[in-house]
Amino acid sequence: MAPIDRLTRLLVRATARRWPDDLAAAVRDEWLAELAAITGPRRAYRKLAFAGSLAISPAVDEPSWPERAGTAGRAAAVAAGITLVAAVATNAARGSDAFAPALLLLAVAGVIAIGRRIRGSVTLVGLALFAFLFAGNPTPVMPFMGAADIAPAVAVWAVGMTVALRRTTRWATVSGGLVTLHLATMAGSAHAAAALGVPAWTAPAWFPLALLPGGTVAFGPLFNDGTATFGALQASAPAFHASDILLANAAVSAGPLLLCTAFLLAPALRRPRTAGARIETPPAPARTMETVLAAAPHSETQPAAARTAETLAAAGPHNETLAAALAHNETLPAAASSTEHPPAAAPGRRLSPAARETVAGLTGALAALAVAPLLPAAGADADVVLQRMIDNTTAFGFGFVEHPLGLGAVALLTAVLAMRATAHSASPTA
Amino acid sequence: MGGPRITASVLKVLAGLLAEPGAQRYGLELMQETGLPSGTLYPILARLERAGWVESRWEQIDPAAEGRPSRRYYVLTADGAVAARREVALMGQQMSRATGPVGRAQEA
Repeated sequence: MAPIDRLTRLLVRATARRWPDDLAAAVRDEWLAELAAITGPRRAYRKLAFAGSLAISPAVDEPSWPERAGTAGRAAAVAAGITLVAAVATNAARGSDAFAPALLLLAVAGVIAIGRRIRGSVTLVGLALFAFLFAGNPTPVMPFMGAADIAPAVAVWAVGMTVALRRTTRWATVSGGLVTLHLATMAGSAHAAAALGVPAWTAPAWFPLALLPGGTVAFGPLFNDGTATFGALQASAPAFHASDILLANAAVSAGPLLLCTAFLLAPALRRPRTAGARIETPPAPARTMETVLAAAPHSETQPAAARTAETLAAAGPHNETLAAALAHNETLPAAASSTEHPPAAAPGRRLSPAARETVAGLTGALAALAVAPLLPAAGADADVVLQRMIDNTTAFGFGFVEHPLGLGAVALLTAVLAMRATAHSASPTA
Repeated sequence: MGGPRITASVLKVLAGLLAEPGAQRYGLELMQETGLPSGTLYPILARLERAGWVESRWEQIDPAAEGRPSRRYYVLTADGAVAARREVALMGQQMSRATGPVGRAQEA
């Protein structure tokens, strides 16, 4: 048996194993028979194309690649969006000094409300947190915000949240989330504690203290001369305790972690359904053609495809346009099936849904471009940063928006989220 | 039994089968007829078979004598043929509505 035959047979056997159990054996035998039937010129290429196409294509019950990409894109946008919301809310709360705890609680309620409508992925939110924290705080002036600090915090948080979300009771889930926040803060602050000489027994208090205004409690060595020298940071400032620096660094991640935790736990906070509760039936899959009439893949057998188009054209005078579209592999325009009617335009509405989404996206992007530069970056002035760390008013560095690429990414993300929110609110099943 | 989701690729397969409604069509043949790759065609055939629009049978040959395994062929069921004609006609109507003014303008 030729190597190409071995390879293609191996490929179709492996592909068949991905298919549902009731079909796997039949499609395997069918594909092997078709491979054997491929003869003549370019036999090797045609066999490879046959087996390769099957190998890279989803099985009958699997979502298509565009569907998978769309799902992943939406999940990533949600993760990045909730991280940004958490960061902005945390900064706003911490900038209000004594009102910080109250505003943080308000923010928690807000993200819980969002989390009840939109599901998020622990892994993707963790990745977004790491990326934003790492990109937003330059380590030269935030010496304990490097990968060695952020990575353990986010990793512990992701593992803890995964475990917490698998708990079956509401209280076990919430307790798991709170324990996770404590452990993540400890993991993220261990490096700082070791460098600053902060005693380990204070670790359980780091998370709650990081959420309070600076100077609430002081512990650890006192830097009497007012000069901090660790890493690349050298700055003059009033005397401060090691705890000021440790808690300021912990606060950078503790606030967003708290809000992201609340967002992810929100679905578990719902009241369990009672026996008499109304059960909502999920909407039936749409059978409209507007989203599924994608252009067919390019084919080398265009003449045969043209014959199919001729068949369509012969089926009736109305089919000529369809036949032409199919013959050229064009994307067909949106159309509704016989069981559904196209949505009637609401009287008085001046904008179509697509136009409203576009307006929302543009508005969101412009708002992000206007607001993002005002967000507090960690800054490059060590004196200023140290002062803000001591009074614990810096919580999340938006250093990435100082770069055009970062600013553009934030604007794009805001536009996508605004468009999705508009589409979601307009959907009758939302 | 619910109908399959109708896409452009599904319409191509239905049109290919409708070209000779009673004929036995192998996968390779349908690939050439529709221009669809194997990875697109076979999931569609599986969905159409589940919906009862097509049925498949195995070629009745002696593999040892023929020197190749039996192939699987597909044929439209009676219900499937009716449904396929309906979907193709329906899409034709929708296309006609969508592009009617352009078509008339071109004709003029």
